[in-house]
Amino acid sequence: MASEVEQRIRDTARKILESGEAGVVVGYGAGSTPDKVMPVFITNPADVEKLVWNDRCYNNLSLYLTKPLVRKFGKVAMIGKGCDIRAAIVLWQESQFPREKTIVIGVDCGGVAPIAGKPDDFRAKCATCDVKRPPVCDHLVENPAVDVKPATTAEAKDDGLDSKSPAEKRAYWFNQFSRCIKCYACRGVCPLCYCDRCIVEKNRPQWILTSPHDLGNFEWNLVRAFHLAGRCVQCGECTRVCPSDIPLAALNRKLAGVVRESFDYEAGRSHETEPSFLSFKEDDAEEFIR
Amino acid sequence: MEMKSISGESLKKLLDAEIKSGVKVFAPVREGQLVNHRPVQSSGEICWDFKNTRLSPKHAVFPRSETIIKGARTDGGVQIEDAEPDAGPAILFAARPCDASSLTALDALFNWDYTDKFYQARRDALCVIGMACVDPAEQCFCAAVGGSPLSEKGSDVLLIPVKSSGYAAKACTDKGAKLMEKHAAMFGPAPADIPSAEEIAGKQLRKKDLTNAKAKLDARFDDPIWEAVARKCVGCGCCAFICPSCHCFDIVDEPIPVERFERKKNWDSCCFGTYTLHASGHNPRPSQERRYRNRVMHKFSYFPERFGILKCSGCGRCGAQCPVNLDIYDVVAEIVES
Ligand code: SF4
Ligand code: SF4
Ligand code: SF4
Ligand code: SF4
Ligand code: SF4
Repeated sequence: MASEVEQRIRDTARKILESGEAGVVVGYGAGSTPDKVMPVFITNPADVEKLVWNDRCYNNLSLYLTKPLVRKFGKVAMIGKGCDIRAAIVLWQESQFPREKTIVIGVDCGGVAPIAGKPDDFRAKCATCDVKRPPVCDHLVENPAVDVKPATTAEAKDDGLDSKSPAEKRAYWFNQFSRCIKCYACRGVCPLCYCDRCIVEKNRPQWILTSPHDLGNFEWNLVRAFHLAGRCVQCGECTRVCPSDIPLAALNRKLAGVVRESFDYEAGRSHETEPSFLSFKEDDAEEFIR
Repeated sequence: MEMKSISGESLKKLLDAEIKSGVKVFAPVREGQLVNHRPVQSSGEICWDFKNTRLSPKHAVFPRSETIIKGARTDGGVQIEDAEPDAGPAILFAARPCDASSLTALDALFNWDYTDKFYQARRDALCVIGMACVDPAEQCFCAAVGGSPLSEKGSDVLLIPVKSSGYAAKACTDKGAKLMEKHAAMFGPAPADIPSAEEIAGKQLRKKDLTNAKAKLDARFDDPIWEAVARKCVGCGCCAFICPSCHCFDIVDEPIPVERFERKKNWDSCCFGTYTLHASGHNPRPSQERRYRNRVMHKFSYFPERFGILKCSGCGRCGAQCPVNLDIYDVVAEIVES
């Protein structure tokens, strides 16, 4: 039986497809085993019954705004939680997909569920969430069961890393990265890792060693974190999918904190705020950038 | 070969004795929420309570990265030497039947037109102690691809946990028989309560027969179904890297300070966009549905055609861990049933 929220999502999706407001609705459907939910792409209004909604709707579907097999449908309607939509905002700002071609179906979200057998840090975002009601959407699907007031804890729980010495930090991360198998699932699932050719694939010269050994893993994980600094919206997807349970969220959180303190900027908050990486001022305090 | 029994305590002693004699024992170890096979120094490190490991244990014979050639710049030119595989006597302990049987697919591939000495040196030195599944995971579908939670394929010794206590133990190959003979005093007569294959199979939910998918797959090579199936695929290497039977690798030359280089053999995946990218810029598999189609075709059509074995043992890892839950069981089942 569809829940009330599911029914609203389906009705909204049907209307969007019937009216031609979008060519495809990217949403969540039942997964391959009962504990799973997977992305689905609905183009026929008769198929909206496939859409589901529950606290296992983990994927950040804004990922698909940049995928050729989805963009071919023209306007794309995406179902999203607040954190997912923050990533869509960054994609609009970075000119990866036009705002006008995106139809956002925002759904109130009370937080995603833990996953048996996985560390919980991928959903640290939920403890500090202030976008339970998506800030930007074309269609809002309210969920009366969700208290949409921002979480009372504004600060992420201290992961204890800041108080470590540089040598301890280095040892900690080398140990974590030693498990990296270079599957690039973190990159694959990240909406903001959209480059046609990732830096690890540039081999003239080879900037980043492709081998999954200590040095190669260190280079890879750090370069990815840097490329996401000031852009990552901390949706936690990279952390969730890492088959080696590397706490990537801690790296992202750290860099987001640095950007917030230095530039008073948080990625994907509003379409109107100028992203720190896209701004340029002739009177910049830093000489190297002028 | 005759069925025997061994207690949990004796099994630990056996492994400790082997470790002591210099054998590298790969066993499941828990680290945080992860359980993976890795070399242990003592049986005390072993995790006994796991459905299956996060990564397959293929790295015991096919490590994620290894050096195959070393070189250095000399006065007059370049000096190059072959690297030798670091292979010594080893035991792969508690490989699940799906993972043990996958070794037969790797054996076929790495001995096809040429013997890969790195793989084969490790493989020859490896004794596989399989651990039957009495409580299969939700994701498992070995029975759909010709396997079984009690299968001995690929194992040298198969252990079956029994309710009374300890394990039923059976030597499946000469290698396994030798290991059991060496420790004969630790084994007793066969236990009375060995679970039947039917009993365990009853617990498995995913049992549609996928063993003859080839004809249907081949007929639908150019079918739009691939686009519908693979639209969500994000083109990562997760499925191939955690898979017990994926064997693809990339060869890269890496600079080593100073004036030296090493040629590495690293895991690769056909789902990466760069997998088939030519130096010219041409890519014969230019979009994700073609890459994912290759994944399915290679496992259920091309490999069986060439070697007579499916290249999927139904461990269920790829579907369960795929970031977007693209599950090969459902994909093949849909096509078989169509
Ligand atoms: S880096 Fe990770 S947390 Fe940040 S936007 Fe990408 S997937 Fe989300
Ligand atoms: S998902 Fe994890 S294992 Fe895979 S490349 Fe990223 S950090 Fe490494
Ligand atoms: S099927 Fe899943 S794991 Fe495999 S490449 Fe596609 S997204 Fe990655
Ligand atoms: S293809 Fe998937 S289910 Fe089959 S053996 Fe590989 S990881 Fe396991
Ligand atoms: S499925 Fe793909 S990655 Fe796996 S062995 Fe076949 S070609 Fe290689």
